[in-house]
Amino acid sequence: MSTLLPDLERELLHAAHRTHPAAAPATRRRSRRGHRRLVPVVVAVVLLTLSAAALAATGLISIGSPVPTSHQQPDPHRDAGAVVPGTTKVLSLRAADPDGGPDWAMRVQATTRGTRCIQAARVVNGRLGVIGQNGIFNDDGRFHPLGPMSGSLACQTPDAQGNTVFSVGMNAVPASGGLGGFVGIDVGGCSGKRCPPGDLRNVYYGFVGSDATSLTYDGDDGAQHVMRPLAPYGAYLIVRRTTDTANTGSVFGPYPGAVVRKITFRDGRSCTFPKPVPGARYEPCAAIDRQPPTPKYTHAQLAAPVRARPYLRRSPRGGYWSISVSFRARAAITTAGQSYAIVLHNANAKDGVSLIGFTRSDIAAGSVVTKLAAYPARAGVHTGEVRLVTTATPGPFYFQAGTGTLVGRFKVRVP
Amino acid sequence: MRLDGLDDAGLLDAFDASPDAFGVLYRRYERPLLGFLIRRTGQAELAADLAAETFAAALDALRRGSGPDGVFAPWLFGIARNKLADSWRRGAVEDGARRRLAMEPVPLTDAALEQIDALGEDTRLSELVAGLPGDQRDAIVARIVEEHDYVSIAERLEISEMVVRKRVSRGLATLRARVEGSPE
Repeated sequence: MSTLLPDLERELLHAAHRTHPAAAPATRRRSRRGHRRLVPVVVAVVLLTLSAAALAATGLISIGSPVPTSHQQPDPHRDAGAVVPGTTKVLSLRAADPDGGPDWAMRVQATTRGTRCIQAARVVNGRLGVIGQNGIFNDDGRFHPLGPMSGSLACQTPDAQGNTVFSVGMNAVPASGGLGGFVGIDVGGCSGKRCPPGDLRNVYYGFVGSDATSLTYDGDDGAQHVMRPLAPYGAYLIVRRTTDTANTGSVFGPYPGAVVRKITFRDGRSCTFPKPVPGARYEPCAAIDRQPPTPKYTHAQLAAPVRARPYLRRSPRGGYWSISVSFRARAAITTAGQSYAIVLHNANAKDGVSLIGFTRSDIAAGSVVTKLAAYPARAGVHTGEVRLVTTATPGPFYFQAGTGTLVGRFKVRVP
Repeated sequence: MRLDGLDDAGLLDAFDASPDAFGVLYRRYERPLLGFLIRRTGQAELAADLAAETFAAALDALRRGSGPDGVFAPWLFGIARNKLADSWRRGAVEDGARRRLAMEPVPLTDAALEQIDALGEDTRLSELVAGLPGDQRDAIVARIVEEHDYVSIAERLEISEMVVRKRVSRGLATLRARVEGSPE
């Protein structure tokens, strides 16, 4: 049987062979042989990199071809939506790279479904992009700008005050500025241990709110530094050199990166963050934990009969019973921050309900929504309900049980 | 040695001598795991990302000699559940295992994403789950799909925790046998 992800299968097999204990001596031999062959290449890369840094230090850097835009254009009416043309703005915030060369900067984009997305990378002449080093663009040392429509998955919907509060932390990423697919700048190249020592960065950036007045963070020098988050979003950007290839991965959420120690807000409130230890979670801080906009509809405005019926999923091999739920949507859905959620009551579930359906696209007012649960349904009587829910981050990943406004309840008997 | 003919336990033993055994385990569990993850996340990209990190973490553990005490499938799905829960908490999928293994990023094609999406819509795995003997199906759905712990499942089904574990184990074994025995 062929696999769905043959590239993943191949990568795993390569990793299995490369790291297998029985293969270690051979690997080391290959490594030593390879090292000699690599010397000229490494020298060339160093020269190119130094050349780029030196040129950039004087404000000159050769501009290369743009970073190709992903061939997968997002659906403007689904999930976070697509970038709205003309909304990509590079913020004036800059962070120096420890090795010099082009600064780091971040840009914000608006999407068709009402979210704001952020990206961080290197910057030249007000354009975000990546440097041809660390295995990308043939290590040509040139600056390769990102297209304005190159989007990101780091998106959030504004809260009731119009603030978008969220942070991204990228650990052990290459100095080239190619941070990976999650932030929409996946240009390949090295990562983690494959990057040259000294070429790894921890990059922390995000929005902490327009009312944030100061942000304290741990600097590379071991001392604490204070910066003023940039209006109007309360943007911050911190770039640090790292040699820690064990501490990798990315963080996306309302709380800032691991080096941020304190944020102070205009009304005197503050959030403090102790140095993280493995497995620990931040204490909740109300000033950061922004609530999504208050639901603008009441149950009376949304109330509609909900029809649920057992649904026989047929196939050439037989079939199984599932549940189909349909209702008339009295409120339109036009943003990523709102969805209709269909839940089954389930006393054994942690939250008392099991999410069986979640709308992810625009819905016109008055249209009939039908969702089919993907699961086989247990025989017997089930009860459930449909709610209009608000989520700060697009998608069912962030669904919170018990929130939202009730549309209607249903009861269904599955044979 | 023909690895494809080995059961999971045999493959785990064979891994000590041949890393190719992991490839067989991957082929055996890729679709069930992707199906499990797409149903929990509803997003094909996310399911693929979680599956990649899950398999990488499994490989990383095996090469360090800290594989499963018991059978492979519950251990693998346990890793996946932990990755999923961790992603919920962090709001992002970690890639620590992939980085430890120095794995290259894996491109996702439209065709692969559509196929993963299809796993969440109406899958052969769902059919296979639905076609399990009743006691195994209930145990699999409660443990793997609904993610209840063994104690609460035992209370709900009014059987011992040991029996629940056996039913889950048998159910997974049955599923694997049917997956292997069914045409593409």
